[in-house]
Amino acid sequence: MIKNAWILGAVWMLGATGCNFPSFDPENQVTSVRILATRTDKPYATPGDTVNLDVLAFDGRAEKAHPMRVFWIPTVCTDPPEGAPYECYPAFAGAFPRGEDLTPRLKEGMSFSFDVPEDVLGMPGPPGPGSAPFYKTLVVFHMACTGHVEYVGARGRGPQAVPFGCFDAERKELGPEAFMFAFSRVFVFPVLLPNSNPAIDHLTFDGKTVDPSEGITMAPCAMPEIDQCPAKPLDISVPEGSHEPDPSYRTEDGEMGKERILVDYYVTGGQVSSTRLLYDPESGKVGSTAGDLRAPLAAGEETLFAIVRDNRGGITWLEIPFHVR
Amino acid sequence: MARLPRFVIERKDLVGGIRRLVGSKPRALAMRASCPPRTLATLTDPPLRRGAAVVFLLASLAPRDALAQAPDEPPAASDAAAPAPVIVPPRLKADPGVKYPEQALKERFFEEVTVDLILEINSSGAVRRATVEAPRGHGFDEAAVAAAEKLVFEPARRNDKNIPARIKFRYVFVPPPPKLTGRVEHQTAGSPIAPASITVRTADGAEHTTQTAADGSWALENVTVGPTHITVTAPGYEPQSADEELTPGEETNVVLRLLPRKAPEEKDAASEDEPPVQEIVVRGERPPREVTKRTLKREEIALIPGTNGDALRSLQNLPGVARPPPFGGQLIVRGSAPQDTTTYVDGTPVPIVYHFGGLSSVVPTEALDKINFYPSNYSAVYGRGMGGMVDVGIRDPKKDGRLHGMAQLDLIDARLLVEGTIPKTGVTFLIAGRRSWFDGWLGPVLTAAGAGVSTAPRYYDYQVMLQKDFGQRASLRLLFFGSDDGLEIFNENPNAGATSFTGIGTHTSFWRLQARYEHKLTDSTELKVTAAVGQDSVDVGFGALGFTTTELPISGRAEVSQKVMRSVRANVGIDMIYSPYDLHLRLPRPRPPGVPAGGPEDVPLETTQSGNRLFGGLYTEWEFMPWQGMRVVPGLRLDYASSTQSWDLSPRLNLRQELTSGSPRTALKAGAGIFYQPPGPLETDPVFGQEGLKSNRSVHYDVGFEQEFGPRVELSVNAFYKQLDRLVSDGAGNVGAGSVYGTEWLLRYKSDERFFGWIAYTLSRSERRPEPSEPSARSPYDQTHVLTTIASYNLGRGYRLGARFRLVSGNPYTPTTRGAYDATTGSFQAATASPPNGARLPFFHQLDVRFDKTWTFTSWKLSAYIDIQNIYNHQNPEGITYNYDYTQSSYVSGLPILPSLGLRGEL
Repeated sequence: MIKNAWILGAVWMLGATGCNFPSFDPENQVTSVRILATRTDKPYATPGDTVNLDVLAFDGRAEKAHPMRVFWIPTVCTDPPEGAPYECYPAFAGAFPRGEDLTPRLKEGMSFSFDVPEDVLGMPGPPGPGSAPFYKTLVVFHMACTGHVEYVGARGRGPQAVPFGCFDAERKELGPEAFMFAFSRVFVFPVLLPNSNPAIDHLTFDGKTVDPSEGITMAPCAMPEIDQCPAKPLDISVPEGSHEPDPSYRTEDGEMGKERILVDYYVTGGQVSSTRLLYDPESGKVGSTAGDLRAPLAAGEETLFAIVRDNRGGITWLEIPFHVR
Repeated sequence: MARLPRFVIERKDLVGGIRRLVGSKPRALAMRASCPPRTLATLTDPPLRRGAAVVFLLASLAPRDALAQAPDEPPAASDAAAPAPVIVPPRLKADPGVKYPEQALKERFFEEVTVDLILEINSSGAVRRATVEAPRGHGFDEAAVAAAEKLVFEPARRNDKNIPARIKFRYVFVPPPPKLTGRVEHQTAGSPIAPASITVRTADGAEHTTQTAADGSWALENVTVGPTHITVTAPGYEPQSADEELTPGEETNVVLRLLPRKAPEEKDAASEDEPPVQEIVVRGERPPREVTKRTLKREEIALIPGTNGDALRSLQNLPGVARPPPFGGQLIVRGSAPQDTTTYVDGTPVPIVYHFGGLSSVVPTEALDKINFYPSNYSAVYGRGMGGMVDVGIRDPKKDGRLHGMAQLDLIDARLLVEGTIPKTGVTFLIAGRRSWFDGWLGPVLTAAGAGVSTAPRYYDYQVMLQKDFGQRASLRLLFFGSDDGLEIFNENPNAGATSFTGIGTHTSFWRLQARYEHKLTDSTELKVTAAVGQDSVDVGFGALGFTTTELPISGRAEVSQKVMRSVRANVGIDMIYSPYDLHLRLPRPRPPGVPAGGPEDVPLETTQSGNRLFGGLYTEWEFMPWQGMRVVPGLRLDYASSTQSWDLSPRLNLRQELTSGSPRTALKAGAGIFYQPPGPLETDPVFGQEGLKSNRSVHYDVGFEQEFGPRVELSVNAFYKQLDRLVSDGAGNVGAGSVYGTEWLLRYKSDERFFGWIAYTLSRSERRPEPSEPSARSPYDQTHVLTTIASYNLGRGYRLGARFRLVSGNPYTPTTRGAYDATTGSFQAATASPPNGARLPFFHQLDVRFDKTWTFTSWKLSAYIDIQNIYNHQNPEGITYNYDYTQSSYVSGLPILPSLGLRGEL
């Protein structure tokens, strides 16, 4: 008893003395215009390849006065210094005029294709430290906007500031809930290195396999706060075959490692665990990978996203209806 | 032709000597004339040797008809027929005396000087003209002439007629002896102790004794110049001693505070308000060759609110030291990065000075003798650092033959200290140790709180010392000390993230076995040798990543200090570190801002190295005292670093001018010097670092003054400028640059029986430019305003109340907005403003309060305290945090109200 009192007192003191970190809405709560993932059919490419990309974008706004549109910058940025996408931004200043609707100059749609230039590799430079092979980075930029796109430059916010904005018909700039600017990278090697997008076997909810077309059904939570709502396990199965070797990675023992594979969950309503590691580069398949899903407080039709990524640009996803009845 | 008359002159001078001058080879007659009467009254040495003197010598320079002639000389042959006239020489009637000239004292000229004069004395006995035969300079000639013109003689006579005369007159100026004064006080109450017996052993081995007056004061005059040992004993008190260097013509004032030796009957009645006793010297910005000391007593350090009585944490309250973040055990000195400030224990470098999180020092306050803290412009004795420097001195064991002990317990740790003398050996010892115990309660607390992680932090340190004195001139000391910090954080849900994060484990430890030998070879030559061996280990692991380093440093330092002449001392020394090491690192590849994660290169980098590092330094430093109150200390240091395979030459100069010789003291000071710092091990690593690096460089400039206002209040003001260049920049070599400039103010009330406190204010600016093509920007360690006020008041009956208030500019930060979304990895990039650190958090302010209560028992003493940080619970912003896409931000606040309790017993 005395011990318990002592511990409770110490808990109180620790709470009183701990640093105060604020809480924000979780990242995996989709309540705005979002690009969640962009998949390329060739994460590792070679010169001359045709690369196809498709995007998983979703408009999570409650009110959708204007529809979300996805635009692609038609020019692919080649080999920016240190592979940093923002190093491509200065080139946009000469390509796009300020204060002009760029929509006609951009490619609109959920997919994009381009050919890797034959001469993209140039002459290999001196090898850097570590075991990375010679390669070049190509960067594809795209954006989701509920209006039209204009070039705005850095506006004094630093070299990494997004140089485009989304504007409505009155040329009023829309906020982050209506605009998102994204990039996707493709790595080009002299010879093709095996690297495929991971596959998904199935998704399980509450121990049962989910039919992607039927989705998940839960009753609304009756508790006043969603944190108090009961959680049910959500898990995803990725086959062992997707766990590819990673020649660049060396384990602590000096052996060649494998990819790191993880899953990110997003939901438009309710609450879901965010990231779960599925395969570790050194120890392989992770034993316990299940996350939690909580129903929202109100009934409605929601959406659950499970995006599986590996650390070499491989991506795949599931988009599941989430019925709250 | 005039002939020398022969006279017999009898004269009793001021010091009572009777001299007889006969013939043409006169002897010198010394007369003390320079010292004030009260000084003369206590002279014990022969006046001919000690006193500035007047010597006079008669000569036959008057016209022939007025020439005085000696009566005891046979007349010349040509005068044999005439009756010999009776000639009586002039006789000194009044002599106001002469002083050793002030000019010579100011110029630190302390030689014995003789000035010969030709005096023309008229028939009424007045000196009509005084002419110096051979000028001596330093104000001696002017002083001699001025004094001679005031002499009054009984005129020379031929037969019964007064006649003019011309004589030779000699002044011998002997430098005035130093004066030693002092006061004996009760250790804490400050009340005078009388009677107390003072024994002074001077450089010539003589012992002088005296007693204190009713007000505790005492004085000794005519003591010998040079190192002096003072011992005070008083009935009912512990004896106390001190060492001082006495300078001619200067008064040295020594205040000694005695600790009551409690008899049983006294203890019940003893005041319960006696704080701990020993003193620790904290010297701010004072090079070791400096003249004066700035002292904080240990009782002050132990009572500063918000520090838990930790001496090294008290440094963070001095001007020039920025406020570290909470749980940040860092010394940010004059805008320099923490790693630019080097730390030593008695001259031996140590890798850390605080246990993790800055909770406490690796050397407990109870074992400290002094902390030498140099914000900049430190002596050529020290190198390989371009920021500040801290040298922690561990005190000698008590030598009174008794056993002493101390035990302390608070919420963080428990500590123990035992010291005394090993019987029949003359060897004294000190054993101390400390271990944290909050790992005993924090783990269950975190588990009960459902924190998801459990921690097991713990630290301990230890010190063992043996010391043997060989007479008064030599001592040998062996010191074994070390520290060990361990922290493990276990993640109870290791897969709840992007990695299989199972936890973090860190283990940092070091130990040193140090031998120190000090020998005063002669009165003017001192030798000090320190050597140490040890081990430094760091083991940090997080998942499959981490690093492990082990070093076995062998360090040595030797210095010879030679007094070349009275106003010149030379110091020559060498210091060296040879350090074999093993290193293994497996860390993520460094990623510049704006470079996204993922991709073929986003794999850990790994390196395993074994080798050795060698750092050697040669230095010389000279102390000149060209005139009174002036000290000029030029120094030169030559360093070699094997990691860069290069030599660095560091000239340095420190100046100090005391404008007054007594209290209230006024002093001006200035310094300039070049400081080099070799790149760190990671910066020169072939995988993680760069090749071809040179040492970072900094040029320090510092000017200031010190002004006392009465015996307790002192103001110290400094202005400083640091020019930084050749800074190692990531991937770009030694292209970085920067500057730090500012001013520091310290207004301090020195402690008395009731109160101590100070106000410290620093105004500064610290800038860096990583590469020439980039703009200069605020450094992350820039804090424009740092104001610290401390006050502690003794309420009586064992109660004491103290407070510390701090008002500090917020730390700089770089505003961040939403950048592009990496649709491959699923993360937003941060768009950081340029230049960095362009914004600043709001002002930090915090009030800490400490309350102490002491009970004194028959044979021991018990103290309890509560130290409450941030008593009005201000939510100070310590950082800024963003949501996932950087569209929302909020401050992260620091420590709210934080009480800490402690108990301490002393034997």
